[in-house]
Amino acid sequence: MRYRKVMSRRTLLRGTGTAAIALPFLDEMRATSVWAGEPAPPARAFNLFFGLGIPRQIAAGGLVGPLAPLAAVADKLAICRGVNMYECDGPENNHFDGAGGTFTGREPATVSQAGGPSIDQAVLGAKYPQGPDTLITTLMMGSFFRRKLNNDLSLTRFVHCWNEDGSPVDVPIETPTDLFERVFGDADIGDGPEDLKAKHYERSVLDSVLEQYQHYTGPASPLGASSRSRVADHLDKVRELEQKLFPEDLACAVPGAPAELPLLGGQDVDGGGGGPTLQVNQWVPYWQSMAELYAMAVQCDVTRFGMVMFQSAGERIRLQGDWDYNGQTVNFDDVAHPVGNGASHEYWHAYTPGNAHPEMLWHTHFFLTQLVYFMQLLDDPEYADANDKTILDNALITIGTELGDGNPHNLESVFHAVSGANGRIRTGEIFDFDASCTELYTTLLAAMDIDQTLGTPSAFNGLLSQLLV
Amino acid sequence: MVPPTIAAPAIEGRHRNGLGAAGIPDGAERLGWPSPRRPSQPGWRATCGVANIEFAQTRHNYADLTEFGVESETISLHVGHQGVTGMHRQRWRAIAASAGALIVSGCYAGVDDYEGPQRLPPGAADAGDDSDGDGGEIEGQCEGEQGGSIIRRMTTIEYANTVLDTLGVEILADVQAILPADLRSDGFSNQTAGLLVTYGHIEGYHDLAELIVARLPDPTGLVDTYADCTDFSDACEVSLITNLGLRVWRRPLVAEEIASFRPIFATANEEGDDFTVGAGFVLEAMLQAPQFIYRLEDELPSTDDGPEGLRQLGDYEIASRLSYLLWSSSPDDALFDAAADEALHTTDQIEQQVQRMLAMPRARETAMRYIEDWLALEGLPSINRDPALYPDFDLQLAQDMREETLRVAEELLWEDGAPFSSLLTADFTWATPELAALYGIPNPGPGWQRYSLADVPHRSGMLTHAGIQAINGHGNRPSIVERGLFILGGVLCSTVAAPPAELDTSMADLEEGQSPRYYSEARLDNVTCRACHEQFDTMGWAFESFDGIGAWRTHDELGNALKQDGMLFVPGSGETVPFDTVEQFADVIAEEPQVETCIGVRKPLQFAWGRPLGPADVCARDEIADVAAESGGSYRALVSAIATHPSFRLIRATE
Repeated sequence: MRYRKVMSRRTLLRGTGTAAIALPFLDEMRATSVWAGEPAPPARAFNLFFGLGIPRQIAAGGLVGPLAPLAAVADKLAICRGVNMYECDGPENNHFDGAGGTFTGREPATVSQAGGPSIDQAVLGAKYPQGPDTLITTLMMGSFFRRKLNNDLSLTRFVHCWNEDGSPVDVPIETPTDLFERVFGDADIGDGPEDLKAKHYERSVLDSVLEQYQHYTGPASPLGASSRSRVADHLDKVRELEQKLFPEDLACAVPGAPAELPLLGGQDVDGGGGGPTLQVNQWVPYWQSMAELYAMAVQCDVTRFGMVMFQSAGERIRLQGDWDYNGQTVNFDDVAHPVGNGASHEYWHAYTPGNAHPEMLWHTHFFLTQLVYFMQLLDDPEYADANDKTILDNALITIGTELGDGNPHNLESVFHAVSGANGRIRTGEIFDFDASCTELYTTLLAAMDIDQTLGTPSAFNGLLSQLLV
Repeated sequence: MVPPTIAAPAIEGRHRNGLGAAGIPDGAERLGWPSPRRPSQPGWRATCGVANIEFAQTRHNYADLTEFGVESETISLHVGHQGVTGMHRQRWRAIAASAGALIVSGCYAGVDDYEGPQRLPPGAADAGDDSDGDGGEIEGQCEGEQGGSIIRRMTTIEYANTVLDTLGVEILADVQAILPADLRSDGFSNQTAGLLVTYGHIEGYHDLAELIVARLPDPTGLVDTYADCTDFSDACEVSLITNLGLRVWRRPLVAEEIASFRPIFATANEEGDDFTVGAGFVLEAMLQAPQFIYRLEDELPSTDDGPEGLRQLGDYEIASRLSYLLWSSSPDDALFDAAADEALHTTDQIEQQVQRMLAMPRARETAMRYIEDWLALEGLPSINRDPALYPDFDLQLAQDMREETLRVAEELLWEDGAPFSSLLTADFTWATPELAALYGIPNPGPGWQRYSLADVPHRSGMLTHAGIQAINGHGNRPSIVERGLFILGGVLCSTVAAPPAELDTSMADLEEGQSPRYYSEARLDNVTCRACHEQFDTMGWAFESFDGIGAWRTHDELGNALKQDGMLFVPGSGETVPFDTVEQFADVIAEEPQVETCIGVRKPLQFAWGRPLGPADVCARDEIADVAAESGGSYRALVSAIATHPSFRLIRATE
C-alpha cells in the first residue's frame, strides 16, 4: 500500500532547517500589475498598528521632528488628530483596552477578545460576503515582543483583526520565513503519474473534509452562532490549504525564500515581559524583509485584508545603534539610559509636555519610519491598479495605536491616519477633530459605501464629513 | 532617596470591620471599584513599582465618596515618599485610599460569586435569563454547565491521547512539533477563548492525518476491525465508514455523512487500488473534519426534556464529556457500549462509569495535568536565568522542579485522597540530589528521593517549592508583586484590576539599604498604590527570601537583610491575618476556607469546563463543592461530583 507524501513546506522546513536565499525580492517579480485591465480596483483594507502612541503635544507639531517620516507619504494620508477613544476604556489598562479598541471602536470583551469586528473585517464582510477570491482572506503580520499579562497571553496587545463576534481572526506571523511560507509556500505535488494519482486522492479527501465544514456552517448546522463563526473561520483556512494543494498560477513570480535571520520574533524573545535589547541594524532589515513580503502578497493579490504591526501595545524595547534622525546621527543606547533601561515604554511614562526625553522622539521617529517603509512599498507605481493609482491610493489603510498621551496612558486624542481609499478620503491634510473613534471608523465605512456604525453606537454623533471627498 | 516615613502596618492579630490595619474603610475595601469612564487627569503620575515614587499633585472632587464615610470636599493629594504628612494622617489615609482607588486606580477586588470582574470571555456563563445568578431548577437542583455554547477544539494533549486511544498511534511528539502551541488564557491552556485555529493548525491537521494513517500499526487491521467485507460494494464501504466513523467522531454518523466519504472509495477504485487504501484515505478525511477536531455538541433547542433553554445531552455526548473530563481522551469500549445502550442518563449510571474510569491510568494523568496547568509548571523548562547569578540553574533542574511539585501532588491528591489544601502544608517533598542541594538537604540519596521537611527550614508545602517560586519570580529578580498576585489569583481566586495605566510598574534597581521589601512598604505607604497592593504585597512578603530560582537566602546581592513576616489579606472579608515566617504563612493560608474552594473547586471546575466560571455557575459550583466536601474533598470526589451533577448532562441551547 502506498500513501503519498504531501507534507506542507512548513512542516518540512521545521524538520530540515530553512534554506537561505537572498533578499530583496521585488526585482524578481513580474513587472506588470496584477490588476491591469480590471475595471476597478478591488476593495482592500489593512490596519497598521504601532505601540505606545504619539502624545498629542508632539503630534500637534505637525510632520516634523519625530513625525517627519510621515511627510514622505503625507499626500497619501489624512492625518487625524483629536480622535478620542473613551468608548473603548474598560477595566484593564489602556495598553489592553486601547489596543483592543483601536480599529473596533469598542471596549474589548477581555484582554484576548475584542468587543466587535475590526474595520478591515467589516469591509471584508460587506464587500465580499462569500469571501474574496484570493489565496489568503486575511493576512496578519507584525514585529513585536510584548504579549503577556502575567502568565497568560493577552491577544489585544498584538491582534488587530477581529471577527464580527470579537474573536481574533488569527495571530500575526512574526518571522520572514513563516510569512514567506504562508504567502508563497505551496504543497503542490508535481505532475508525474504518481503525483497525479496523489492529487486525485488529495482532491477526494479534501472534498469530503470541506463538505463537513460546509454542513456545520450552513443552514442545517446544529451549532449556535458563535460556534458556527468559529467553524466558518476554520473553513476559510481549509480553503486556503486547498489553494495551496492545487495552486493556480500566481500573478507574480514566486521570489526566493528569505534569508534566515537572527530570531527577532516569537514567544521566546519576550523575555518574560521585560523586553529585549535589539540592534537597530538587525531589526530594520528583519522588518523590511517582512514588509516586502507582505507588500508582495498585496501586489500579487494574495490577500486584500489584514494587519501590519510594528511594536505591540505597551512594547518594551531597548534599542542599540545609530539612527538617522532627520539628518542627524543619533545613538540609541537604551541599556545605558536611566529611563531606557526600563525599556522604551518608560520614556512614554516619563513624558511631560515640552519635556520629552530625546530618546522618546527618536523611538517615535524610528517606528514611524518602519511603517512608512511599508506604505511606500504599496505606493510603488509599477504595481498600480488599472486606474493608474497605487495600492496605497486605492486601499483603505487605517493607522492606529493604543494610547493618547504617553504619561497618563489615556485614550484622549489617539493618533490616527487614513489612506485615500481610491479618492474617497481627503488626503494630504491634517485634521483636528474632537471626535470619537467610533465616528472616525464609521466615517471610513461610509466612505466605502458601507452603512454601518463601527464601534460603540452611543459614541456616534455623526460622520466626520470633512474627511469625505 | 528619602525613606518612607510610614512603616508597614502594625500586625496584631486578625482585624475585622471598621478601619483595618491599613486604615482603610471597609466599604472601600469590599467594593468592586469600577474603572472611571473619563479622560485621565493630566499631570497625574505615580510609580508603584519603581524607586522614584514621584511627587504628584492632582485635584479631584470627592463628592461621590460620601457613601464610604468620606466627607464631600475638594482636596489636594500630595503623594510621595513622605506619604501624607500632617496631624490628620489617619483621616487622610482613609480618604486618600478611597479616593485613590476610586479615581486613580479603579482597584477591583473580585471574589466569591464568580471569577473575574465585569467581563467574561467567550463561553463563560453569564447570567443569561437567570440574571439573579441562582440558576434554574432541575429536579430540585440548579443548572450549571450552561454557559454560552461555543465549541471546543481539542487541545494538543487531547488530540494526541484521542489518536492513541482510538487508533493505537503514538503521535504526541509530532503533534507538539507540528501544531501551534495552545494559547494560555484565563489561567489555563485548555480554555475555549485560547483554543484558536490558525492557518498553522490547518496545515498541521492535514499533515498529521497523513502521518497517523502512515503509522497505523497494521493498515489492514483498520479494515479487519471496522469493515464487514473488503470490496467496493455498498455494504463494505458503508460498514467501514459507519464503524470507523463511530470511533473517530465519537458518535454514530448520519446518512449524509456516510455518503460524503463514498467518493473516496470511488477514487481508490478508479486508481486501481484496493479497499484498504481507500479506507486509509477515508480515515485521513475523518481526522481533518470538525467532528474529530472539535468536541461538538448539538447546540440547538430541542423538544427534549429539561428547562427552557436547556437541552438534555445524548448518550454519546455524555460519553465524550466523561472521557474528556476524566481522561482528556475519547471514550473507550465500555463508554461506547453504555452510550449505545442509553445507559448514561442517571446519576447511578454515571457514577458507576466515573469509578471505573478513575481506576485507569489516564485519570491520574489528567489530574496531574490540572496541577501542571493551574501552576503553569509547563513554563519552567523555558524560563531563562542569568548563569552568572544562578550558575546551578539549568534545564534539568527546571524539569526537576516541575516534577517535584507533580510528585507531591500525586502522592497527596491521588494516592492519599487528601483535600487540595493539603498541598500547602505538605511536610515532605521529592527531590533529586541537585534539587536537594538547592534546599540544603544534607546527604541526599541518588535519583528521586522522598524527604521529610520537618528539619528543612523554610520549606513547608507546595508554595515553598523552588519551581513555584521560580515561575512566579519575574526573571532574575524575585518579585514580591508577582508572587503575591499568584497567591491572590491562583490560590485565593480573587482578582484586582490591572494596574492603572498611569502607573509605572517596572522594577526598581536595588540599592544598598533598599530591599524589595523596602519598595513594597513604600508602595503601601502611597495611598494610590496601597488600594490594590495591600491585597497581595503583604502576602508576597512571605517569599522575599526566595531568590529567582527559589533558593533560600537571608540577604540579597547587595547585602540587604530579607524578611518573611507579613499579612494575609483575606479577600472580601475585611480580615487580615499576620504571620512571621513563610511556614506560618503556609499554615495560615491553608486554613482559609476560601483556599479549598478556590484550588479544590473553582480552579478544577474551570479546567474541567474549559472556561471561567460566571455568575450563573454559582449555584452549580456550590452544589458540586458540597457534594465533593461530603466525600472528603479529594480529587476523585470532586470529579465524581462534577460528573454526577445534573449540569453535566445539559447544554444551554442557542440560536
